[in-house]
Amino acid sequence: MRKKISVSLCLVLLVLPGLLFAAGTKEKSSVGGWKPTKTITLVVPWGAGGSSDLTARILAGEMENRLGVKIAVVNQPGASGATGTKAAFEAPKDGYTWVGNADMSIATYQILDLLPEISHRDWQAYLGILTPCVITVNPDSPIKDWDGLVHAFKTREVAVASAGIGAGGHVAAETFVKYIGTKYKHVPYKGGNPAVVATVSGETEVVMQLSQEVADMLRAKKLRAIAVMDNKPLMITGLDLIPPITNYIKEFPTVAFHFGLFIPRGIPQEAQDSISEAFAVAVQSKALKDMAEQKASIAVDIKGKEADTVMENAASLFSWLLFDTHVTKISPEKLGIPRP
Amino acid sequence: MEDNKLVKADFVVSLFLITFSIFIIVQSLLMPKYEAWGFYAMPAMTPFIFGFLLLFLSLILLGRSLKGGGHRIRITRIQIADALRSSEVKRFSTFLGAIVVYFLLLGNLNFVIVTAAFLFSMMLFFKGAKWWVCLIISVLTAFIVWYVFNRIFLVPLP
Amino acid sequence: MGAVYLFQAVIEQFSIMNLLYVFVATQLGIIIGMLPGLTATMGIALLTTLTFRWDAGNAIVTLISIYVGAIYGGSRSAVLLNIPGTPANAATCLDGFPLAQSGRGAEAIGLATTSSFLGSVAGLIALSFFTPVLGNLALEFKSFEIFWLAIFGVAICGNLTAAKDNLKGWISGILGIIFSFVGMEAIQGYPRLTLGILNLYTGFDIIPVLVGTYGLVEILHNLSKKDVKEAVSQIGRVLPRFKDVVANRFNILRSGLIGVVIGIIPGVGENIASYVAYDFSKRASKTPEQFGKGSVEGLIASETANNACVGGALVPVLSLAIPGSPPAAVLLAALWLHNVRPGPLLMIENPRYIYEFSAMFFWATCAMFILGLTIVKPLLRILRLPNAILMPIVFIFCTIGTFAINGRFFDLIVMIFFGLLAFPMRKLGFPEAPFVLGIILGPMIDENLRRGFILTNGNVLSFFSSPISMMLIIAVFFTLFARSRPVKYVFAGVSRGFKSLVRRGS
Repeated sequence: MRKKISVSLCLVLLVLPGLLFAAGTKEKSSVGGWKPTKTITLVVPWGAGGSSDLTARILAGEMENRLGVKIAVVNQPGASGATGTKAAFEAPKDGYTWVGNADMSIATYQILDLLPEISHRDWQAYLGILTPCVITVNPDSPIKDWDGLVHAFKTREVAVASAGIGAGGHVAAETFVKYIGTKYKHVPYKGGNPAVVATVSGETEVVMQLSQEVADMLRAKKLRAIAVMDNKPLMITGLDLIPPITNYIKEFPTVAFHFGLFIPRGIPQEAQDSISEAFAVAVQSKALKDMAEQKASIAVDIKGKEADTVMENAASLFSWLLFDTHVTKISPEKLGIPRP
Repeated sequence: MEDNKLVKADFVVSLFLITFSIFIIVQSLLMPKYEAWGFYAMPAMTPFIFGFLLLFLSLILLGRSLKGGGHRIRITRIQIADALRSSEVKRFSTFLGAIVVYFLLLGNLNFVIVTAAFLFSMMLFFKGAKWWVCLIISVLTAFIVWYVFNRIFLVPLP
Repeated sequence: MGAVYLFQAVIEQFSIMNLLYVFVATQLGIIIGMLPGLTATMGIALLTTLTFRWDAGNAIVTLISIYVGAIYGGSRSAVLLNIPGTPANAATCLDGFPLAQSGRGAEAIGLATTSSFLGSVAGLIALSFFTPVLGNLALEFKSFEIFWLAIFGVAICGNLTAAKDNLKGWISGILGIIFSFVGMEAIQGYPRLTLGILNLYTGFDIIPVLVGTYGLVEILHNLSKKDVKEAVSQIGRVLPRFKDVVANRFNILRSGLIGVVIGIIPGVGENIASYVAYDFSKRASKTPEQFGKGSVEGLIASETANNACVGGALVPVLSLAIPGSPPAAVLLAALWLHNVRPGPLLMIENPRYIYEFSAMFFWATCAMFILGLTIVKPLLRILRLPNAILMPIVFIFCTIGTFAINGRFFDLIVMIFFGLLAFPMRKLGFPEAPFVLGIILGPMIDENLRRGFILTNGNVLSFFSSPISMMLIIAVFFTLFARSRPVKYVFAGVSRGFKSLVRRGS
């Protein structure tokens, strides 16, 4: 008798979770011409919890409703996102495989020789989040403001943390020293969060990662902001405005990253239309706006031709920067990318 | 394995390891140096160190097996033939072969069908139970796995 | 005061609905943990997607329960099949499986459950009462300290073997480290040892390696055996005897502490915690020769530490928004998605949240204990299934788990490769535990060593400059040389001198 009870208890506990979670997956009516019939796979070629991942998950959660199917987020980290991006690119072009990534990564895989055959022009971008790089320092650092920052870079070797070669913080630092005309010590970490933590702990003095990644540490006064690499000030709720870098150097370009979805070109037109429509709704959602506010970034709605321009600009800015700083040996000219 | 045989095996293994560690050391010498970062930051640094450590440890293993007389191995044709004919090797290679076939078929045919076929053939080969019991178990497992993972948890299946 | 708040939060969460969430999610976590290849990280990531639209409280309690359940659940397959369900349970295999083989399976599961529970309680205490204090400890572990911790990990490789052959343990560990160097490295982004294959640029993920070296090897081992072994009768009580637990009180306390501290260190997770606790326990034990052959102490150490690590890993999540382990990183992302903002501001804006969070952890811990003890006997029937039926099914789960992690077909090839590599290794007496540990340690050593040099322009002395580094170096020294004659001699001399001093003083 007891055996029977325990066996049935075991069965119930095995089946119950399935039922409970299945209940949440009721199909909803779809819109537009395209009626997806199976689960859409959204490949995020970065670890769970990063900027690409957060953006992709929120967009997926909102778009599911519109499209009427489930969107499965799959993290495929490694090789700066190249292998995951490649896998998604090679999937059938039917609109059921998407990538969640940053404009900069997609735009530089070719120049970094990671995906020599896939150009940023092969993707249709749907960009939902814009996040600029912020120059921040450890609060115990003698650097208090812009003048102090420039003075420090000119008089000693300042250690700058970044999320790795070619990552946001690295590109920002290279652009910065290009305009100041000095050298610095680049200290790469494995991802944005470790780089920011290293600056909080004082292992490095400066970090120029994305505003998303530093927002909470700034709010908690564990980091001090010097300037944002944009032409307008950055507002972080609960803090003073962070001055734009163009206050000090007029012609300094905006170093900012877009996060969003990338879908290979060549999928059926009606699928493209439906995705566009669902995306337009998703970027207006409260969830994305809340996330943007919380993470000190901006919710944007860039798709179609406008997205192509953004991608083209990103490719030109970042490819030439990587080439000029000898990170890559391939000339962007060869790939038909004009100098900014 | 008995100690005597193990010492002989160690001899062969240590030779393998020495070759492997030399391969790693050579490979690390071929890596780019990235002089701008300073010699201490080159990518070859750790593979080189651990290649040497492995070489050192395998030399100790070699020395130990030599002391135990490990180099006196004789491999005769009869031994090899016996080994190949043993049922253990047969079972091992059948299962491995089945895995290869299974993986080759995976992306091309329906997951449930391939998996059920794989399970059924393996259970039959290793004589798990009567054939219809095997069939029921295989089909049920394949279906439940597919349903739970793909439908409920949205896990991608090969 | 903290205790009162915690108690209040625990009472507030005592409702049928809430408990249903906790129990169902914990059971799901246990199942995810049991399946080889599906880990805590994976489980939390999956459930984050599924619970996206839920109310924040329900979603978070579900995810915490999954985390606690999965880390515990892995011990099931480790004990029953010698296949760790998650990397955190690799050290549990060393003693859990021999115990089950000698007919003490029920007891082993009971012990694993009890020690996981006690470990979880240690984590709970750290989480609810010491978060503000311990949180800052996470910032003390910089490149140098993590480097030495990894070196300590290499040093204990020689101790993670059943046989007395330390040499083969170290060789295994170093082989693992060398294999972990394959792929793009973290400093210059150079693809090392990839032989030009793009798929190798990502390196070897720990999951395919773990499933290959343990799962596939065990399957091949069982299926190639000629005679099907008679299932050992599994009689015996599940709930461990009180005196067994009391006899291990220092072991439990030590392992819990190790688990919590390693959990707090950013990026260092449950797997390393259980290995280190296992090593310490072996060193302190009166019967170290039993380790690897079914030692109760070893099982307790490993399982206490990995569950204590869960609580530890969540400490910096709450206090600094820094994840202490890979699953905690995903949990942190989920918190953000649900508009909960952990981090330094939490203490100022919403100090009571720590207790709410701890209360969720408390209920998950209770659920794990109860679920863990109730359905042991039906579970043990798995062992009675003939290998010819069980092993092909286990193989299917191994395949799915490996594939599901990244959705890459290449990972299946990696799994087969490591299975074929580890099969002869096991026959030749090279243990797999250090090999897997090496795969985890390799990148830690590589990155932190070279980054440390970059930070100080190649100054070697800086690696010896902090108190934590010095402590770790001393630990490495004793691990490697404590049994060698000169050290023993000096040690004996010092203690004799000390004793005579004490005697003279009194």
